[in-house]
Amino acid sequence: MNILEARQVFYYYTEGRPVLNGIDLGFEKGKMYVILGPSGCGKTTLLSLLGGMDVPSAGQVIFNGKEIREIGLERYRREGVSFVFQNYNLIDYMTPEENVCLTAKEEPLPVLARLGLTGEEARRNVLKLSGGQQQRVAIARALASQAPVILADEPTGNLDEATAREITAVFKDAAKTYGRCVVMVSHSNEVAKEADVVITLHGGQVA
Amino acid sequence: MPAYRRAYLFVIRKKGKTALLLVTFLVIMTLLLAGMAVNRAAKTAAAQLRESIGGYFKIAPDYQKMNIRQFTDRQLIDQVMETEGIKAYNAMDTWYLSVPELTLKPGKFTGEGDGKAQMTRLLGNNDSSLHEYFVLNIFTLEEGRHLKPDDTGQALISRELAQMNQLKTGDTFTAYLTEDGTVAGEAAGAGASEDGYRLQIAGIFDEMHTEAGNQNTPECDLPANFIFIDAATSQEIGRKLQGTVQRYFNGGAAFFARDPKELDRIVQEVQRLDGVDWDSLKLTVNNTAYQKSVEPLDRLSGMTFLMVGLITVISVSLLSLLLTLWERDRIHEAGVLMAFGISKRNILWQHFLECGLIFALAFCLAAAVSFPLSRQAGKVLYHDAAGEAKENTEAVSYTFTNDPVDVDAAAPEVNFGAELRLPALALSGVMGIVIVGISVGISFLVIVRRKPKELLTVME
Repeated sequence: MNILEARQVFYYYTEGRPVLNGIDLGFEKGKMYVILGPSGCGKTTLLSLLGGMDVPSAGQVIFNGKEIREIGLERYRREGVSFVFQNYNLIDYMTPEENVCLTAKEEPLPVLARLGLTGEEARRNVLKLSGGQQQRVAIARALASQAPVILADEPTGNLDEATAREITAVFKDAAKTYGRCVVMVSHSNEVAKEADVVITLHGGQVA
Repeated sequence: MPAYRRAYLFVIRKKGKTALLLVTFLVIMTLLLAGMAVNRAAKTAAAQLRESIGGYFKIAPDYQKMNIRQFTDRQLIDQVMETEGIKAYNAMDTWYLSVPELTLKPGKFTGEGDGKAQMTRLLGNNDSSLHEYFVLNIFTLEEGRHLKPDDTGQALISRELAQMNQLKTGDTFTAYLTEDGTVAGEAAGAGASEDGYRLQIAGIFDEMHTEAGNQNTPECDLPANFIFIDAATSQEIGRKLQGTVQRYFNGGAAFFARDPKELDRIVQEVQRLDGVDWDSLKLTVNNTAYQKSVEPLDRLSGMTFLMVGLITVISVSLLSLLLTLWERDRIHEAGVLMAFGISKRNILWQHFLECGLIFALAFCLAAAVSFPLSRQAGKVLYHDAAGEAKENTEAVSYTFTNDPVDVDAAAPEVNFGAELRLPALALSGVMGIVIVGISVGISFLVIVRRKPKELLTVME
C-alpha cells in the first residue's frame, strides 16, 4: 500500500512549459526509491512537491490517503516527511545532538550512536565534523523525527565514493530495518543499484 | 525544540552578533532612558511651577486718572472671584505710619533731619505669601510665618530692620498714625498721634533682587524699612483714615490663576464683567515669573521629546538594517526549519526572543548607567536651556518706585531633578520592546515573503 502518491502532478514555472508533466507515482514503506534523470528534468521540483515545500500547479500529492493540503503543509512537513539535503543544512550554532533535537521524537544520542557518532562528536560544533559525519547527523535528524517518509536530495553528491557508499547503506537500512519510505534524488548509478525502485525522469515525465 | 531554546542557543553561541547587538541596545537604551528622564523631569517641574507660581493679574485704582469713580472694594473682589480658574486673591493696602520705637534704615529724611525719617511703609494684605513682592520673589520669608487672613496685630519685618533693632519673631513694636494720616506735612513722624497699633513680629523676610537704595531715597521707600501687616490691622487703619466700615483697598487686589495657561482667558472674562468701571480701574497682568521659569523647561521638554523621537526612529532604522543584513545570512536556517515543519511565526518568535533576551540584558545595564547619567545630562541640558532666561533675570532688579505688577519678575529657582523613576523606566522598557518588535518584523520580511522552496533555492 502506498504511503505517498503523486497523482497527475503538473508544475509550471512558466505558463505552457511544464517542468513536471503529469507525474503519477506511488511510494511504499520499507522501500528505497531513487529518482534518476538529467539536470533540469524536474527531480528536485518533484521532491519538493512530495515534501510539501510547494504545491503542484495541477494534480495532487496524497499522504496516507489524504491530500497534503488537507493535512496542512506545515503539519505534513512536521509529521509526515523528513528531509536530507546535499549540503547537509545543519544549524551552525547547534551541536549535532541539538540539531537532531530540532525534530526528534526520540533520544538523539542513541540515534547518532547508531550512525557511528560518539558522544563527544555529538556535542562538538557541527562545523568541526567531516562531510560524512555531517551527513550522518542530517540522516539522524531525519530518522529521529520518526517521519515515515525520508526525502533526500542528492545526499551523496558532496561525498567521496567510500563515504557515499556508507551513507547509501544507512538510507537502505532506514528503509529495511526501520520501515521508512526513502525517496532519494541522485545522479549516481551506484546509488541507483542499491534502490528497490529506480524512477527515471525525462522532460518532466516518468520515462 | 521550542523557539525559546533555539533563541537561547543562538544568543550564547553567536557571541559576536550578541555582543554587537548588546552594545547597540545599550547605547540606544541609555540615550532613551536619559532622554525620557530629562523630559519627564522637565514636564514635572513645569507642572509644579504651574501649581506653585501661578500667574496673576491685579485690579487697582488707576491713580493716573483725575476722576476715579470706582475702587477695588469687597464687592468687586467677590464678583471677580466668581470667574472660573481663580484660586486665590490678595487685597492690598499701603499706609505710611510712624514707628518711633524703631531705628529705620537711614535715607533722605535722616540726612535732612526731617521728622518723616521715622515714617515707613506698612503693607496690608490678607495673605502675605500672596503679596506680589513674595510671589515675584523680590522678598523671601526667612524666619517665622506668613500673615494669614485670621491674623490680628501681626507683622513681617526685614532682616536688616530686625538686626538694626535687635528684634526677633514674637517681639512687638507700635506704629502710629500721623496727625493728618499722610506722609506730607511737618507733623509726620515726630507728631504722631495717640492712635497706635501694637504689632507682633510673626516673621522676618530677606530682600532678593532689589537695589538697596541710596541717600536720596526716602526712608519709607527703602525695602529694608517695609513692614507687612495683617488685613484686620490694615482695615482698622483704613477705617480710621477713610472714616467708614465699607472701605476699599487702596493697593488694589491681586488675583491668582489656578493654571497660568488660563490667565488670558480669565482676564478676558473679567474684563467683560458687568458694572465694572474700567475707566477708573487698571487691570494689569503679570505672568513673567511663570513664563521665565517655564520657558527653559518647555524648551528642554521639546528638545528631549525630539531627542526621544529621533532616537526611536534612528534605532528602528539602524536595528532593522543590522538585523536585515543578518537575516539574509539566516535564510538558510529559516529554510531548514521550515522544511521540518516549523512555522514562519515560530521562527519570527525565535528571532524576537533572541533580540528580546539581549535587549533585557542591555536594558538592565542601561538603567544602571542612566541613573547617574540622566542626573548629569539633566543638569547640563537644563543649564543650557535656562542660560538665556537666567541672564535676563539677573539683569532685572526692582527699584520699588514701580508697581510690582509691571515688574519683569525674577524666575524662581526651579527644583529640577532629572532622576530615573519607575514610570519612565517602564515606558522606555515598553518603547524598547516596541523598537525590537518593529525592527525584527521589518528584517523578517526577507523571509516572510518567500515560500519554503524558495528559501531552499536561495540557500543552494
